[in-house]
Amino acid sequence: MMMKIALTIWGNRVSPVFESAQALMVFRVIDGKAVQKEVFPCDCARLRLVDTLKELGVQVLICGAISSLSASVITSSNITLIPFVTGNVSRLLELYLSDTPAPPDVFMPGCGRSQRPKILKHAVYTARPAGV
Amino acid sequence: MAKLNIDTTQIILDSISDGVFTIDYHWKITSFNRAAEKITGISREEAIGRHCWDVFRSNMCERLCALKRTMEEGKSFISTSAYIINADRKRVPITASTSLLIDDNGEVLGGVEVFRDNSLEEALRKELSARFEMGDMVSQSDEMKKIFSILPQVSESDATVLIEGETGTGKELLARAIHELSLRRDKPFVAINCGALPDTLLESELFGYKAGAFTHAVKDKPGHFSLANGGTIFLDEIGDTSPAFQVRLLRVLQEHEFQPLGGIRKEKADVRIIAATNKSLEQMVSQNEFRQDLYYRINVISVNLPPLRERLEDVPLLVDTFISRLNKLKGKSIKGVDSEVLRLLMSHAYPGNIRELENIIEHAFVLCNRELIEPSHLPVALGKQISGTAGSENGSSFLADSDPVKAARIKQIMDALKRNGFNRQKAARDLGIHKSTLFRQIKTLGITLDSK
Repeated sequence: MMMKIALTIWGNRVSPVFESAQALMVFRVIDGKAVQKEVFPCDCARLRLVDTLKELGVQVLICGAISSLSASVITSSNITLIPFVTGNVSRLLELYLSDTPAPPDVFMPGCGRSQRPKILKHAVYTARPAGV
Repeated sequence: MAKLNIDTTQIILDSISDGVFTIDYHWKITSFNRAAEKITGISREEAIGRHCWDVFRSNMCERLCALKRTMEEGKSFISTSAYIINADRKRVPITASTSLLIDDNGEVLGGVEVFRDNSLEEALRKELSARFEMGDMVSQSDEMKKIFSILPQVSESDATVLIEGETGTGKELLARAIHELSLRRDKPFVAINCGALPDTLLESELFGYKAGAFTHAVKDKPGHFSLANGGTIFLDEIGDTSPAFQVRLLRVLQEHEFQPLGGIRKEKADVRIIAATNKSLEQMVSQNEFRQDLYYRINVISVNLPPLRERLEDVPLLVDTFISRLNKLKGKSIKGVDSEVLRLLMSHAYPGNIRELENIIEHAFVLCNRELIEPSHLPVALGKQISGTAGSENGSSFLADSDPVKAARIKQIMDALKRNGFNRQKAARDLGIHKSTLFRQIKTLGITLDSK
């Protein structure tokens, strides 16, 4: 099975704030293994980034802090969003694909961190209507 | 003693309303005061020991980190504007100042960042600017302010919008403002007046044609739907279209596809549609003059632009806007209109709405060689029309009044009303009289104001 996972990146780390991210790393994953990666410059402050993600065929987006508005636009486009994560890009991808419980330092402080599922794949964004 | 000093410092830090945190040379947070907890929504326990960018989460972190510059250059930075994403996933506007953290021996221990929540200031600033401007539109009327306030959400939604309003009320400006605020703002905005073209021409303009589709079609011509790809198409005077065209448009709206004339393949229509009319489509539907199904398709969000006569308080603001725009265009430095001109302008009914007012000012601009536009610079027809309608529906009876005392009092009241945007309570306060006295005088003096 093939899927595409994108991460907003800052060097080899996940970008701390989605809206100010400058680059996007897209992994092509086949049968649970990353077989290809590409880096695209991006301006995440523009919500049209969603169109780029859709054109690239991205199904999952892993990012750092993100505002409710951007998060709603992304999730309304049927892209699975895993926000408020931090750390090394390769490590996060590995954690996402491996189903092993993620250590607490993978999640940014706040944002209901203590209640978030330990498996990164399950730490999916859920909309809070009041925040949008 | 040292312990006491640390405790005292913490108490001081916790008692101030600005957020304060300190970092070491590994960018890890070493202290985090109470206000920082409140602004970020992150507890001190969670923050300490974490990288500052994981906690502070500012748009500055990645490229413009003020703390990084402070640490590298040894300089302080004051009041840098930015925003953070708090634990509630909200953007919080802030101003931040940074400096080095130096101990008693002059040794640099790290950096300190002080930040302030500017949400309130930002909200007030937005409210002030939103009150008067949206795109190229200006207004201070309540009706228009309501429209301005919902426009960002309307724009963001990508839904079809129907704008209703009389000729000259600014329907295209509103459509442009919606486009500029929308996610499609980087793509084209294409406007077409549906009422100005016969059916066949309108179809070829909108959908384009293929070479050979008709006698003079020597090569393919893309239509407005192709040109506006990814952007917004503005269909003005939609109420003037034929039933046959309405069927074609309905199909495009339903299928998001269109077929150029003479073409055999359908093309994708990735456009947002904003339609406008100066007629009541609802009424047209009830009289079978407009397709009901198309009406429901385009009337997802509807905006009704009020005519200028219902928001005369906007006249001074619009006059200032037009003069300032024309000054830039024509290289003049006209400062405004004199009080008599303002009085005349406020007494006009504006059947042509804002466009008419703009034309009046442009006419006066050509003739005016002074600092202020005077009555002699106005179009002759305007003066005649006002004199002709004196004492009628627009409250200009004072123009022909022969009693100077009465005329002076009428002028005084009218001036106060104008100064206060025709708010009678404020005007009464301005005149130093009770509201009921003002109402009585308005009645006694025969001042007939607009229905507002």
